[in-house]
Amino acid sequence: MVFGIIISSTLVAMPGIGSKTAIALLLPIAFVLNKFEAVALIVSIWAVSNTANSITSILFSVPGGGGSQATIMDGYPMAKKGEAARALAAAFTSSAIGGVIGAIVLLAAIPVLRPLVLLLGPPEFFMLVMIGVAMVGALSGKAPVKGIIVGAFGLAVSMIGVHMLTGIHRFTFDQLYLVDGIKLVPMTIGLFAIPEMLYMASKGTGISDVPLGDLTSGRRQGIKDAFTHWWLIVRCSFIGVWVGIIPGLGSSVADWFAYGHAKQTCKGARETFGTGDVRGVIGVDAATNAKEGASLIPTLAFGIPGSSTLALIFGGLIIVGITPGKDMLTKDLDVTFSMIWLLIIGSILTTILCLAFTKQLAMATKLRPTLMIPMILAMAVIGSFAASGRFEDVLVMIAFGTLGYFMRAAGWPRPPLLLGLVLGPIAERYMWTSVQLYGASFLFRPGVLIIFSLLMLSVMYPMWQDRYFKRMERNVEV
Amino acid sequence: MNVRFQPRTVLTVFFIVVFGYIFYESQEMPQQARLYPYTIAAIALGLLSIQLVREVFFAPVANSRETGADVDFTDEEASSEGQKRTLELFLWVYAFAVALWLIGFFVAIPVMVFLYLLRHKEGWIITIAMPTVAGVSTWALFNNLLHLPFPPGLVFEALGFD
Repeated sequence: MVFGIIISSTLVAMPGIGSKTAIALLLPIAFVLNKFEAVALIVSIWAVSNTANSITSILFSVPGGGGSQATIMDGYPMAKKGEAARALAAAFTSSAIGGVIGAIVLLAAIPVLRPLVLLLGPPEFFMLVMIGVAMVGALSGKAPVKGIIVGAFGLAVSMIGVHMLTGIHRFTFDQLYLVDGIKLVPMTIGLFAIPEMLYMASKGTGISDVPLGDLTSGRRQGIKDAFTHWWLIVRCSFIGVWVGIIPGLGSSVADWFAYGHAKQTCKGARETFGTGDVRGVIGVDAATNAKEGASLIPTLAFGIPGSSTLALIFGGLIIVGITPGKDMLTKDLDVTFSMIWLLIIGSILTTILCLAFTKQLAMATKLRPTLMIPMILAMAVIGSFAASGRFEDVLVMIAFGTLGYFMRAAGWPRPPLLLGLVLGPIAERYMWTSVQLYGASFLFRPGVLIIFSLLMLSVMYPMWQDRYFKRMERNVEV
Repeated sequence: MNVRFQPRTVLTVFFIVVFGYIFYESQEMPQQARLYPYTIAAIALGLLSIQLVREVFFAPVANSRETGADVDFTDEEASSEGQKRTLELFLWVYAFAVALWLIGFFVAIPVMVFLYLLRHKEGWIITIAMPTVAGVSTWALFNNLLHLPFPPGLVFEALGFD
């Protein structure tokens, strides 16, 4: 767990790498571990993702990930005033508290979710899987139609290989390698690590030439700030929890919601926010980390990962023999509780390590792309090959890397592709079971109709969301 | 009404071809295997038609690279210098894949790291130290400890090395 936290903190702290790439690069290591060790590694990588990325936001005004954009608003002005250590300590501490609150909500939700999950049948689960893909495609982007198409493409990629019910080969082009289907790890590494590497190469220079300065004095004040504003942390954590429960609303939504809330409710915030108010940092970091625990609720209960990062976690769990969904609330309940406790411990441990090694982590951002690129490329190749020990995995990685680059260039979101690949086999199984049990009339069951209405709402919602954010951004600018 | 064919429409056409193939190919399958790909392809083709019409007839040119769900494509990447660097790295990636196939992982990885650092005029200490670390860790960590069955490469196989 400590190994996972240290390595992934370093990777996540580098702008342009991000949590998805870090998870994809480290996931092959989980293959050689036993079930509980693998879960500890996976959860620890995940626990880090929303804490370490505040470093670049505060120090260099470069968001380390989706959830650290709003941190810049007050974190960077604080750093400019010589309060970088205070801002970082406040961000790390509030992140830990938020993470613990999110995990506790998850813990409390389990007794409620168990009977609810047992009430649902295959038709409802099929629609829930569809809603998961559609919501991540539609809600998380400015291009909902493109998002849903990419999700469908992920479902299509998952069809490659032997069909589990009939045994026939689908879309394999008579290639032996494709009989087993496209593996999650090489595809993810290709889709995220290669385009990020290309991004680094196109920039040509390092992320920042700004001197790091003093990152120790003011640390104690930052920790104290977090505890002084505990009620703000609790409120923003619950905003994060709410965002986390809805699949598709990622960290980039949670941080702006929390920032907006803090600005509206904190005394004198309208004058001080944006100029280096520590409360702006505290609220945002608490919300983004609280979101993580809560986002496990739909993943564990219904088998719907709420984000592409969770889809990767989901895929990692499947690889080590754990199937998210109903089983995690019944026969694998011990694994679920282990995950929750690991998330709590991971959040606290990450904060302690980030506080202790802030300077070292910040130095990771100073590495030149010319040094990072060959190492990432080597890691990407080895990580892809480790998926099944076949050279074709490397070719799959490169093919998806090329596709990922062109998708970015043309404005097609990549995360729904990952979700589609992970959820594809589950969706097909539920769909066929539903057809066998009820025929085409499964589509008219009350539960299915309710979920379908939600699905339609989720497609319409981004239009409203887009307008809302534009208005909010205008308010923040004012 | 203006008709705009932008380079990015190529990707939309690519997806249309993929889903068109799935739709066509699944017709030959038994019902159990056909139902799911058929349904997904039909839905996707419907949405792609809307997307294509929007891109060709209505799409605004500005900001169409923004996804909101992903790291947006930057102006630096879109610049001619950025594209040149991207193309060079693509060539590195493809050449590296060929090297892996020909001379295997143990040799190709340190060689790639060494040549890349040499190309970018890094200091000699780094240029020698980094490939050494990469080669040793590939052999010690991934081969010996994690037992990854790295293929020796076509050339070494032909020379009789396993």
